[in-house]
Amino acid sequence: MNLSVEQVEGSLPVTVLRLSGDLDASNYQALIDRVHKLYGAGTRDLLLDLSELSFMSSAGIVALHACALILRGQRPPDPEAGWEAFHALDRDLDTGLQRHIKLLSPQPRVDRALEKTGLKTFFEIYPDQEAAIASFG
Amino acid sequence: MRKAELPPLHRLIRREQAQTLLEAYTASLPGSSLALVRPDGSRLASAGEWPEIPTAELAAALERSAGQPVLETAHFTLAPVRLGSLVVGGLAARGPGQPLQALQRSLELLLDQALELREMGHETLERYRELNLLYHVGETIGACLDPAQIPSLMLADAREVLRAGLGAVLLSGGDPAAGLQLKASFGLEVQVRSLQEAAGELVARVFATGLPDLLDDLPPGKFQLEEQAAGALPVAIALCAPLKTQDRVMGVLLLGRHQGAPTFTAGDEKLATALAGQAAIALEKAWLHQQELQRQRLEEELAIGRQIQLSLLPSGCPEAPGWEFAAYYQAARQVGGDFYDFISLPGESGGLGLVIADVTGKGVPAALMMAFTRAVLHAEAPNSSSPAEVLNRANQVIYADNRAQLFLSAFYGVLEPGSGQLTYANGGHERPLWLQASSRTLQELAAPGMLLGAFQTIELGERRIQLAPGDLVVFFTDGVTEARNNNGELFDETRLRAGLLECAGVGASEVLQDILQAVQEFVGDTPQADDFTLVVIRREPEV
Repeated sequence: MNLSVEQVEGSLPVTVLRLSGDLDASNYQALIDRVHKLYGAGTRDLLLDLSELSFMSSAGIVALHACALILRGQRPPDPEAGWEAFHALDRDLDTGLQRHIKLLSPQPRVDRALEKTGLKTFFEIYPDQEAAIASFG
Repeated sequence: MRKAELPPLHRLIRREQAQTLLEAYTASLPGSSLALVRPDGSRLASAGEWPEIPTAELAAALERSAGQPVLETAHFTLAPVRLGSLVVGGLAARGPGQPLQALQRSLELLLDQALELREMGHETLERYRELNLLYHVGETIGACLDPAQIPSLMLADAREVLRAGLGAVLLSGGDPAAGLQLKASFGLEVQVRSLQEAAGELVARVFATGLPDLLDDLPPGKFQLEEQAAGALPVAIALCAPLKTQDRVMGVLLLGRHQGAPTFTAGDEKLATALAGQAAIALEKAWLHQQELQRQRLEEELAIGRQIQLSLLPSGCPEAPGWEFAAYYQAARQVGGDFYDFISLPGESGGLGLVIADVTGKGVPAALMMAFTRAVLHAEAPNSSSPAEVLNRANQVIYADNRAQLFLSAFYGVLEPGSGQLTYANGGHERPLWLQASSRTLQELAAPGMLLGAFQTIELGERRIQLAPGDLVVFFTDGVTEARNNNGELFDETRLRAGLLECAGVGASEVLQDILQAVQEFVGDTPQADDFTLVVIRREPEV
């Protein structure tokens, strides 16, 4: 999997993170780390461009969930520290669509994975970048 | 350098040796006498009738003779004996016609040779010291398998052999941006900091080039005042040697001495480099050893995970009149978190709970999560005939107790064997495929749902289908559809569907075997990353 970053100015500054290749157990942590760094560097609205992502395994689902938590300002899940810390933070934030992280143009296979796992009720998905950028704010 | 270290005359030439030499000269010139005196005028050796001349007189004359080849006084002729530019003694003569300058030259050559021999002796001694140190290092540091201990062991040796007042070992961690980290030190803490700070450039250079270097005029450090307050002389001299193996520099050994102490010599530098090199090899070895231990632990953990998992899978398939069940599970090398289960439900209808699930993650955490989920489902299933409700409750329990950051996808269905009704909910799992015998078509068992364990509340839809005689349902995990061949291609749901369509009218066990065979033919001997689980149920056709 390759990651590349672009900054776009909508009504808010939005970071576009483009994923290409396969997202699976061998590299999902790299995605989480990258998003964590972006958040640390000031990113508050993130669009994940999935148009070049050809495959996403269940580890990818874990990574997307972790990214959503990071964009909420919660620390990313640390497998060693466990979840209790951020469970305690805000329990009722868990439902509803994410406002600060959205997805762009998943390929059919990835779209299916999102559909099957129920993550489509969690992430807004846009077919084109302009509309996606405009939706932030 | 050499001047200060010059040994006294009697260390360079023995008294008897000098005596013999002088006697040989006087014998050839009867009536003459000769003496070899030290710079203070005292006599080392003499020959012939050498009178008692006060040492003060000789010393004074020697001082006067320093600038000239030969000095004539009322009582004697004096030729200074030099080594390099330093006067180390004098040759005094009385009587006629002494070839004093020739003798003086011979003596000087002799002394020079003696000095050279002495230095070679020192070198040998130094070598011996070095060998001894390396031998010792081999025995202590080399035998140490704990990387955390090696820096301090190494410093203990450096302190003793190199007579430094301060020392530190700095190692680079995994993150190059974090720079070198202090791993061990000796000496006053504030001075160690001062040394590190003042020798920063030296350290950076040695780390970058892998070559040792020394400085004897360190600038006053940032902590100078604190050093003074602690009553210590400022650090002024530093020696830095790389911890280097064949292919990388992993850190440096930094030693310091106070202002006014002798500077480090080239020999010290060599010794420090040898020591640091040995320590680097020992560190590398210790790290490898730790990695090996870790690998073993991981293997053990995976084996435990596999055991937990296998012990929790049903030992056989249920029996219900008019139904066929078949199940297959295969663990990946790194055990995943797949599981399936059949739960007998209370009530007159003899309902049967069908579970297939996949925990994200691997090893013991995934196996424990699977065991936990299985227990929760077994506890919840008898309380409700609604699969959505069962999964919802399971989600809440799992979410509240999810310490390991693991999710799972789970499909749960309740089959009423009598009527053929299957009610199900799907928590983000691969949709099972329903092969309808009458139309020979495949349908996915979809329902709105979400992974379990990630969110406090999830919305789960519930669906109900009616299985007709001859119909079958295939439950599977992504280990099946994501099985890869050696080109990296996925087996994929398309192949699964195609295979299933050919299975119409075949029993559950045969269907299972056919799919297994198709997957195995596809992947060949490519090792699979994920667990592989297949469950087939079939309503027997009416005869």
